[in-house]
Amino acid sequence: MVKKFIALTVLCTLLAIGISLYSSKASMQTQTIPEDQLGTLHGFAMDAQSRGEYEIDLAKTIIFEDAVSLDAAIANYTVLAATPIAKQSYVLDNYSIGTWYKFRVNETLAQKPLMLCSGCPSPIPDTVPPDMLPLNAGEILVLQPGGSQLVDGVTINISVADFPDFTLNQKYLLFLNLDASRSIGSLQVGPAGAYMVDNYGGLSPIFQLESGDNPVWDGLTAQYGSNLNQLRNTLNPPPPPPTCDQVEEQSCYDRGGTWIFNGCYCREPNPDPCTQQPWREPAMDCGPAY
Amino acid sequence: MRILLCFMLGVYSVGILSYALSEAYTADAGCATCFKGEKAFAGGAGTTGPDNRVVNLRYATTQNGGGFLGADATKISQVISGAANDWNTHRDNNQNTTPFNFQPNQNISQMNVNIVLVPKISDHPNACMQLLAAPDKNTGEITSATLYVTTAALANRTVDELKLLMDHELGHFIGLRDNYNNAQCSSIMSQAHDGCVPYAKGIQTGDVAKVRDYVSNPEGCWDKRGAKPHNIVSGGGYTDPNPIPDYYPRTCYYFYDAVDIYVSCDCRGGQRYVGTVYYLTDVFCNY
Repeated sequence: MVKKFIALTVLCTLLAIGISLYSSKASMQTQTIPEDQLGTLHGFAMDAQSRGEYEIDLAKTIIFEDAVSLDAAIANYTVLAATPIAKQSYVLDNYSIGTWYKFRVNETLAQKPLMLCSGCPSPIPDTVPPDMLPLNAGEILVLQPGGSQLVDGVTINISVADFPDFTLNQKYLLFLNLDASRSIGSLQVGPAGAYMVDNYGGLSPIFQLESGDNPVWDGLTAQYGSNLNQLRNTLNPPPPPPTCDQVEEQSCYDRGGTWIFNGCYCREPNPDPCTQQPWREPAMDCGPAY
Repeated sequence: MRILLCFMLGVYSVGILSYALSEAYTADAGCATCFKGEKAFAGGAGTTGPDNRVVNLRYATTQNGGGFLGADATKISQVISGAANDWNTHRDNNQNTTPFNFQPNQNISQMNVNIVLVPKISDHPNACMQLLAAPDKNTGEITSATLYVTTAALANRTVDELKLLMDHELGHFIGLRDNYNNAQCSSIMSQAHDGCVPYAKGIQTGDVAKVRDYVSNPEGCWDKRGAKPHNIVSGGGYTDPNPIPDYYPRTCYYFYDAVDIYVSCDCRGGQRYVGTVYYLTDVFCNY
């Protein structure tokens, strides 16, 4: 009886310890951090150090602006093809790491003024890291959330769901809320506003999509065959073909000449070898050959 | 004849009913997606089992570090209670709730989601809220998260608007991905408009169903939470030493093929020119 009682007691004790450990597991990390450091980068670093870790991965999720549709995105945002040529992650404040990209603009397909909404903070950061400046002509800066930085000896990696980092020297089609006066763009619609461009103008999204998941991509596919060249030709149609005087052109042909479109002039035919005059109708007999 | 008509009417009714049900099912399941390959939060203090995983929500109260004080504390308490109640009571089409049980709980040693007030979200300045989740390095389990709320959002948005935003962010904590197609889908995971007003009309049956899928079979979800880590760059980052100058406006050259159209005629050569059709064949721009 005593043995049974002891066994039962030990079992209960183990059970209690197990439940206690289970219930406190998720909150253990907060025990060693001062309350005013919770949620700060320093707090995450302290937490990692307390576990003997020197690198941590955190996953960020952000509500972006809804692009609504491709047409709305084109109507509201600056659309450009650009290539990132430099990037650098920074600790932006106590809570955030961000990565600044310097893009070289390949072409601007549509330019729109900076869009601000009432009661909202500006989408454009107030300050720019000095080492990303100066900008050459045709260069812009874009801030992407997340990145990696060393904080108190701990490497903190912050990734953003659906929003991988840009690859240097890869061309992208971007829908930006652009402050043209400061050459700073905001990726306001998030990953739905960035597409990779291949050497043939083919577009592909930067994140894995389920069918119907992204109306901007659906529009690019349905209306422009997922091709930058088709989008460009629609947004910036080429100039009309050269127009020449059709009467003059017809006259050129009637004389047997060749009409040169690029310049709208007639290359006169070779002269009649008999008369050294332009060909006439009917053709004259040259007489016997010598 | 009457029997035949009744039979046809019955078949027709069954068809209509099946179609309506399939449409309802599609609407329920079609929009929300979940994060793949991670282990769902097992539950914090108060958890009684896998179907009752308590998520303790605590807002910061410190004077000098992200605390909600005075009226701000009152407002965020209402938001937290409302959002917790939303998730705890919404059901899927089978009348199931999620296995998570959100609870406001100011006990700092038990918190699972820490809610912090920040002056701004510097890496996306017009955002109102952000969730930063911490997966366990070894198991991949989401163990805790920090939810940032901006002072501007707290001041300018109503409790109902903030509640929808918090519903969205807590949806991320329990496995849901963002939804980028608000026009065709209704999900709490829809994106925002005018800065940070959510389009969502609230938690949908499909959202609850997808949370349950995430818990029971995360491999069946769509994509991983962290797209991929950024590469560490240091020393000022890479800068092209010889950047190609870029000038505006660019000059583009358009190349056309011109095809002349002739018709037969009683004239020299037997054909008469009537016009030219131009085809754009290539474009070259001096980038």
